Amino acid sequence: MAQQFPYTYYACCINASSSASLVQKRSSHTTTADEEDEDRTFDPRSPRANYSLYPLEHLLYCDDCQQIRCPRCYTEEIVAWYCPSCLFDVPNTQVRTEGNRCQRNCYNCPICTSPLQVNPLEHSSHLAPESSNGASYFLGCPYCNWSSLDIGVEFAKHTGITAQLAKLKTARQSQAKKEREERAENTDSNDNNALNERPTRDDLFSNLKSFYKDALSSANPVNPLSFDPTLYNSPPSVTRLMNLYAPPSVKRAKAAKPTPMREAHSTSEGLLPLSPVDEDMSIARMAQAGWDSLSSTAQRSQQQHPTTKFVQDLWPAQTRLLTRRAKRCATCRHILTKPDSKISSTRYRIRILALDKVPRLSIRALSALHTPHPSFPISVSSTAATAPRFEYENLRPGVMVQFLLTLHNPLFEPIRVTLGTPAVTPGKLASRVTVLCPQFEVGANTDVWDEALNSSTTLSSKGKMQPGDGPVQAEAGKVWERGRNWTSVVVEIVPGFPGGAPTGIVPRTAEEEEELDEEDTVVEVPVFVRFEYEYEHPDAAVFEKMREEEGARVKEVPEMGRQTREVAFWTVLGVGRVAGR
Amino acid sequence: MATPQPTASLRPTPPKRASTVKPILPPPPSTIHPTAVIASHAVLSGTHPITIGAHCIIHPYARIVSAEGPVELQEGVVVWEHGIIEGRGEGVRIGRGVIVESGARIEGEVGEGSLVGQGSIIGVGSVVGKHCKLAPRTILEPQTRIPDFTVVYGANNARRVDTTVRDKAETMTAREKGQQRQMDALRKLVPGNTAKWMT
Ligand SMILES: [Zn+2]
Ligand SMILES: [Zn+2]
Ligand SMILES: [Zn+2]
Ligand SMILES: [Zn+2]
Repeated sequence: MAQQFPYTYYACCINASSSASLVQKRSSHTTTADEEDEDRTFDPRSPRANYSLYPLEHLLYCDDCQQIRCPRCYTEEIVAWYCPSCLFDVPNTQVRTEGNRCQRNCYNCPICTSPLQVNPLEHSSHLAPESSNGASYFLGCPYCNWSSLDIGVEFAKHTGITAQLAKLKTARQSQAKKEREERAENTDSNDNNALNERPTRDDLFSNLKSFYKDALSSANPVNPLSFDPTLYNSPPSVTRLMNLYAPPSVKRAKAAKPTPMREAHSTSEGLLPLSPVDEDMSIARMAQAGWDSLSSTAQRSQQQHPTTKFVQDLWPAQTRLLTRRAKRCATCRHILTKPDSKISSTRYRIRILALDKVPRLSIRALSALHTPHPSFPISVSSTAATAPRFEYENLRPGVMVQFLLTLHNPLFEPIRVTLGTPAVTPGKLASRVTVLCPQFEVGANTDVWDEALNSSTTLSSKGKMQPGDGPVQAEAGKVWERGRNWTSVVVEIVPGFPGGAPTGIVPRTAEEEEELDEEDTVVEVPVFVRFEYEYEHPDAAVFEKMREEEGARVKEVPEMGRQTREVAFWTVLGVGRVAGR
Repeated sequence: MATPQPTASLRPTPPKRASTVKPILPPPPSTIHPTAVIASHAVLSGTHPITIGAHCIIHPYARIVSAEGPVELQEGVVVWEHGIIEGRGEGVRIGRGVIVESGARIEGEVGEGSLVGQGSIIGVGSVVGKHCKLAPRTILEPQTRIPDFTVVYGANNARRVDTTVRDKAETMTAREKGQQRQMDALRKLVPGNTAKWMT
């Protein structure tokens, strides 16, 4: 993790395989399942941890499950389709029938993918005197200067480009077919017949489509009475035979499986056989026009027919539609975020961020904060920048460093927090960790002005003393400092020795040095955070209505009045790096 | 405010003078057509001759440097803010109707009707043909040759031949017309102080 120290990551889906069952057990908000988790220390160095650590800003929160939710434990669903070019909403039904391309006048450059513009083409009188209205239109790329004139496409009017293009395309395809037929007549080779049958791409597609449709719909694809020895090699007949001799129970099981289907055999079924004449033609064309005339893989992937070989045959691509998506908790199907379906609006109708539901942990070296502590947490970062820089990249093994762990409470209720850390961090670099005050309260996220107006009374710094030159005397069991909705506690960390042995006593061998990974010098502290708070339950009727609207299954309405809620999760604090060898 | 410019050559750029102050050094020997518009914040410096053709527009903070060689701007060249044209060796010639966009730096020859995109760099001794287009931030190494009607674009300096403009005279005239309209507007907007550089 190439991030600047210090950092905090929140763990989600630590044991992804079992998390679903765990959550189901926890229907009555008891913590039995949690306790199982707690017994195991989360190891930030395990290979799996790479997939479960996120910055707080990336996480959502499910109110129902009372858990943070990461991309692995929420599902996405499409709220709206729209065209990024004309910003028009496309109804779902249209997407289903016409595909995920804009059906209006939006096209992208087949060469460089920028949106194309419709430009007028003014035929000067001496160049095209026959032209009746004197003007036509073409699609032009403002970036790479490609234009539809390059492929000989001009439009009579500037609207309805899609219809005009379709007409031009069919005209062109029939033209190509005619040319091919003429060519086949001239060359008296054996594959004359094959060439004459050669359909256009669109025909081929519809042939193949109808072939598959037939194959899917016919439950009994071949007539059992007709005898054709080749048929017994085809999978459907084999299945039929199997069905005849199998016992009834097996039969039923077999029927549930999709039967394998035969593939297309001929042009009428949508198969495009290799045609030597066509291949010769394209080879000759390549030889003549050179490398630059060939389309790139990226360009082909944009085309409707990904086999388009030549730049000259590239067709403007209809703009792909984009989606707006809602996110649902994968466990309880509760909606976590839902954007406004109006494309012009960037607002969310529902958005439950972990940021607003879970305390934010931030850690800094205490020695970096020799300046008087500010009362506003926002200004902490600005003063920290001016304070003498603490070298997080250069921790000394075996020398205790004091860190200040600050928790900010985003909730409107005060929270009681319990922190748990392993005494020795997992991994090769076994660092010793002591949280001087693992249990404390953090104030509610009340109005900022409340604090400003009576700052002298709310601020209390219990364990704080005047910092001297040496390590600060922080009292165990006492909070270092506390503000409106934040509390700081001191964490003492003794970084371990890379390689396990103190350098002075046992000199490390070259092999041991080799074994040491870059990652093995990073001091990362797993911290288990559990917090609880009391909250006034919303009105039962409102609660019920809310659930019905969101389509979630209705659970029992919780009791009214004040309730205690408990949330727990693992975090990882990246404290620094032990100095190099 | 000078935008940081990666230099195409290893030679350090001459220290930038505060352009509002009248240059201490005598202005370069320049031939400026009376119809050219040179903004008062533009800088012409150097010792070799500078020729500026008819209807050229030099925007504020553009620099034309002839310290190491003469510079010739033909008719209707537009140099936008912070565009730099540096004379080298035998001289640098910018063809008729070339547009040098903001922050571009040219130390080579550019042919008629070409467009040099924002922040592009044309290295020493390069020759860009006629009616070319360099997309923004294109960097041409020294001694690069770009044939006529080439579009250089994309992250890998992909090239393609602009067949539209090459084969269709109408598109060329349409483009020139549009450019003409833009120049007419600019001539009104850019406060000219051409007399300052007349010698
Ligand atoms: Zn998760
Ligand atoms: Zn569109
Ligand atoms: Zn393009
Ligand atoms: Zn949930």
